[in-house]
Amino acid sequence: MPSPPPPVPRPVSRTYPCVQMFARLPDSRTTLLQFLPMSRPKDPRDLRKAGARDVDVTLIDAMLALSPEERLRQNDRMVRTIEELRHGFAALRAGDPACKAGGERD
Amino acid sequence: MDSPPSGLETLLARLAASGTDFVLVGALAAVAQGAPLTTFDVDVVHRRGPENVDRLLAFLGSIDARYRGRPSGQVLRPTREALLGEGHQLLTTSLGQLDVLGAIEGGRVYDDLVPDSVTVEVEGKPVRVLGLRMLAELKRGATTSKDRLSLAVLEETLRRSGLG
Repeated sequence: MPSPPPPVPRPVSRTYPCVQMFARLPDSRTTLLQFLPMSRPKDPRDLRKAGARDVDVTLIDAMLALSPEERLRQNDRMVRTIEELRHGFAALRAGDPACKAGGERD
Repeated sequence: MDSPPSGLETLLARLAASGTDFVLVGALAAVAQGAPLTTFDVDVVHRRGPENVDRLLAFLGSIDARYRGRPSGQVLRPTREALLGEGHQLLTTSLGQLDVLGAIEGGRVYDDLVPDSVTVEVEGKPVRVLGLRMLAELKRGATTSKDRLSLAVLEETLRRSGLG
């Protein structure tokens, strides 16, 4: 029985996670929509057919398992995340040096 | 880009604690009942009686409520007369965005919505929330793509919660 191939090491990131995120996904609108599955853009021709098939039932079940207060807090957390992303993209557009940082840490 | 701190749960709890009679509607009402949507504001339909409007006005003053979208430097605050009417007051506050609605689709006012509402507890205060079934019903008449997508989420949430 042949031995399994050795594991391939994952490439080591040499940039900060936030920089990677902004650098790889330059268009803020696209990025936000990718982070928010519920808001993923749809082909307008498909809107008439929008129904259960397009809905993330896993997310619904997760929400239903929470108390009303926890659901409201979840919304607040999502809003804060979106606001942070907006600030990040605004800083990137403004040429904030912190967002242009790269290279090795330390 | 100065936006007020987001804390819609706190905003809702403080409004409930003010003694104002209102029904939570809109996306946050759906979220409270398990719909995985995200919203940036609190939408409420208030009872438009004079005493309730006075309580609401005092609360709005305490959270620095003013109309959104005004030119820079122009601060316009909601008035008693406006809150007694059926118009929509789209406000920004120190706790987040708050839409105070005298009436919603089909001219429905507070007393029309109460029978279709449920009560949930937020920070120890009872909050009346428009039920998922009526929220979906209101969305069925909407024409925007955003509303159609929200309707699909509401209907599936209804089904999976055993209410649909």
